[in-house]
Amino acid sequence: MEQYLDYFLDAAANPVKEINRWKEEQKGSVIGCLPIYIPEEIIDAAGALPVYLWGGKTEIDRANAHLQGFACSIVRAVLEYEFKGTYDMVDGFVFPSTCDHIQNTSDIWAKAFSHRPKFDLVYPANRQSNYAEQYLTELYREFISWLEVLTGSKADDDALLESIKKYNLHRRLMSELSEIRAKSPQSLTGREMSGLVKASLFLPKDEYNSRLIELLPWLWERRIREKPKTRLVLTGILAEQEIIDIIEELGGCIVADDLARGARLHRNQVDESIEPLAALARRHLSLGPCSTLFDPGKGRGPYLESLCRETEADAVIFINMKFCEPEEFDYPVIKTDLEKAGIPLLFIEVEQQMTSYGQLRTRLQAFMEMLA
Amino acid sequence: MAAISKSEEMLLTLLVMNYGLPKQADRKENPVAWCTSIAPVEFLRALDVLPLYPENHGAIIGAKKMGVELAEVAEEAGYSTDICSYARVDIGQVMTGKSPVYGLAKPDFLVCCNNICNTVIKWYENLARYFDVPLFLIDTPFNHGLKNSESSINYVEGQFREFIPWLEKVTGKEFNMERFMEVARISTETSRLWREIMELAKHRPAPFTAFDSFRYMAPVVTMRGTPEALEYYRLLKEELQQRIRDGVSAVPEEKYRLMFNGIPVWYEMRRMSQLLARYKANFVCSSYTNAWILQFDCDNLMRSMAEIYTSILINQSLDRKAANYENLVDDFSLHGIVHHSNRSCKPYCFGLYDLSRMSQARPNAVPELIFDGDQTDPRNFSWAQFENRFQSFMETLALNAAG
Repeated sequence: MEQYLDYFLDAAANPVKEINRWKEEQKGSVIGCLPIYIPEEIIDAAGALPVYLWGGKTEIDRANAHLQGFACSIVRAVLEYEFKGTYDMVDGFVFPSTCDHIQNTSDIWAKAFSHRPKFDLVYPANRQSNYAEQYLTELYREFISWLEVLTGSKADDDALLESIKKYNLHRRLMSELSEIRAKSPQSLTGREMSGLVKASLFLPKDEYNSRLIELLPWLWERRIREKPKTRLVLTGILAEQEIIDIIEELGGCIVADDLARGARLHRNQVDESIEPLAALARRHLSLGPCSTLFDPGKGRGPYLESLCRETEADAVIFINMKFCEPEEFDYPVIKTDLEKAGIPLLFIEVEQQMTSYGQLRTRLQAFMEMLA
Repeated sequence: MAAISKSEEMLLTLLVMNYGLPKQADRKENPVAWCTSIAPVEFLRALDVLPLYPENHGAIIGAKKMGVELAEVAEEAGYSTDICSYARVDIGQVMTGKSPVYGLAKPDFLVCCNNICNTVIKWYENLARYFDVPLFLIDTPFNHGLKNSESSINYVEGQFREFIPWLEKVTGKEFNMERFMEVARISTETSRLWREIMELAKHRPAPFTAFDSFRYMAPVVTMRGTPEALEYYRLLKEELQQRIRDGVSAVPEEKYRLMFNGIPVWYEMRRMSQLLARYKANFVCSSYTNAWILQFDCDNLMRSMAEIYTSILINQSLDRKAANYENLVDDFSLHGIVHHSNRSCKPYCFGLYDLSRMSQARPNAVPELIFDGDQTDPRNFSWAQFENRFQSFMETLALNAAG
């Protein structure tokens, strides 16, 4: 079973190689998706491979001619990677209306890479409107047509239903993985967990699912470390490997997360009993809480409280992706909520291009000592 | 010193009314709503709801140089310095009650329209939580192409139809369609006058500067749909036309005609206008003031409002923006364009570099300057740097003029 785990971890370390392998074998199209909440089922049903593009560590050079330094590091890295040719195996790109950074980068992209096919998923932000579902369903129909031109294959209702089932299974399995992390934290390290999540962002789901199904019972029984002293919940956009490593070196253990590149992706299922596009639209409109989705009730604080209770976590770490306005507006509210609930909270700030973690380590250390 | 003109007197009265009245407003009869700067306020006016504008108030806070003080209050409460400074100073004034005017009366409900940015969604979520009042979001999908899609306009129109019963519920009043039509007609008429006034600056020399129009704009932003605002622009237009007839130039010996693209640097209005005058340069138009030209087709009101409120330039593709600026270069006989790369306003400035390259590639290209700044937070702006860059920019223009 160890080799099954290695399969995921190797893939996570070599996304380009894995994606190229799929392309070689399947002769299919690769669709690059900017964060977050892309209806991957539709892409899958058109026979293409959805891969998430969350930026990464790369020195920003040519992107500086297009985007100011106060754009978030994810969009700057995505532009830079395209300039560098890192995304050459990607056949088409999807830009959702997640935030002003991504929305406006889409237009910059259209000018800089006008030869590259792109689709804009401008989501209905007013999730309370009765007109949102119809608008979103029509948007998904346009998306299907765009994909058909690109791939030569149309995502019909039968294909959609099959893909929905595949992704529902995937989300169930990812939720079970989260459950293992919470109930049996001795079973896997934070590094392994984030490798598994990272691999899920680009591996074909049938392959991913079938291997994870084999792996899960083994993981439940696996014991590779002591019972952790300090149990933590991470919230934010994403947690770079370095942060997770530092937390674990300091004796902490991540028992749950509310990360955009993490648990937020695997919430809510798609109803398999109704018309597929309406079902996909309804899933989107019911998602949350998330800083990028309209939430006048500000449910994220209470959500984190209950997540802490369920997973017996001692504290929350808010990992702020520098310049992420949606997250930065949520933070003061969460801070108030968690203070009231008596849950310790640490705010740390990261950028994808950062290279020095010394200061972060000091702050994390002080926090962990305070908790102990 | 010359006596102040009739329009100036009226502007001052309107501003005092707008900021003074809410404190005494009979809250049962006239509920107060806070709304975003280009929200469809006609619905509110039709119900005699008093709309108040945190962004406009933020501009005043900036101009009166209270930006840092109030932003720091928000930062103390956990708001990042990366967040739009209008939002930060607003949260600061909410928490302290401090304001250079009378402050904003507490809202009974909130109306947020994201045709200017998505920041306002988060900002208003937090206000709704703070005041514990209802919030209505009007979502106007961003247009990445040349035309808004049918389905997005259907969706916006649908939200308008939901907005009416929502307003009736939160105000306890009955919505009167005829009254609404009348407000929309006044609003359209006001916008038409506003456009005509902006176009008067096509005249050489221009009778006013963008620094003037940043003040003239207050009623079209905050009192759109009222007879008072309409009357103000009638007066203003007459006076400006008279200035043209009298050969008055806003900038003595106007030589260079520039466009200002972006939100003003509110706390540097005076120094900037003096600097420009020194070079015989005038900002004769600005993309910011043009944003309030909202002329509805009153025969097809809901549809037309949905289309127009969604089509705010900042909610549109770079191609749409570029086409708009291209026309301004010829229409206003521009010699140059100055862009504000505004740390607060992401939609206004992400894409600016490409927009500038697009206009540079056109036959009617004029020199452009992009400077770094912030609308309300002077900590993100360096006067010395701006002055330096502006000076070299003017040297380029002088060379062009000589060549």
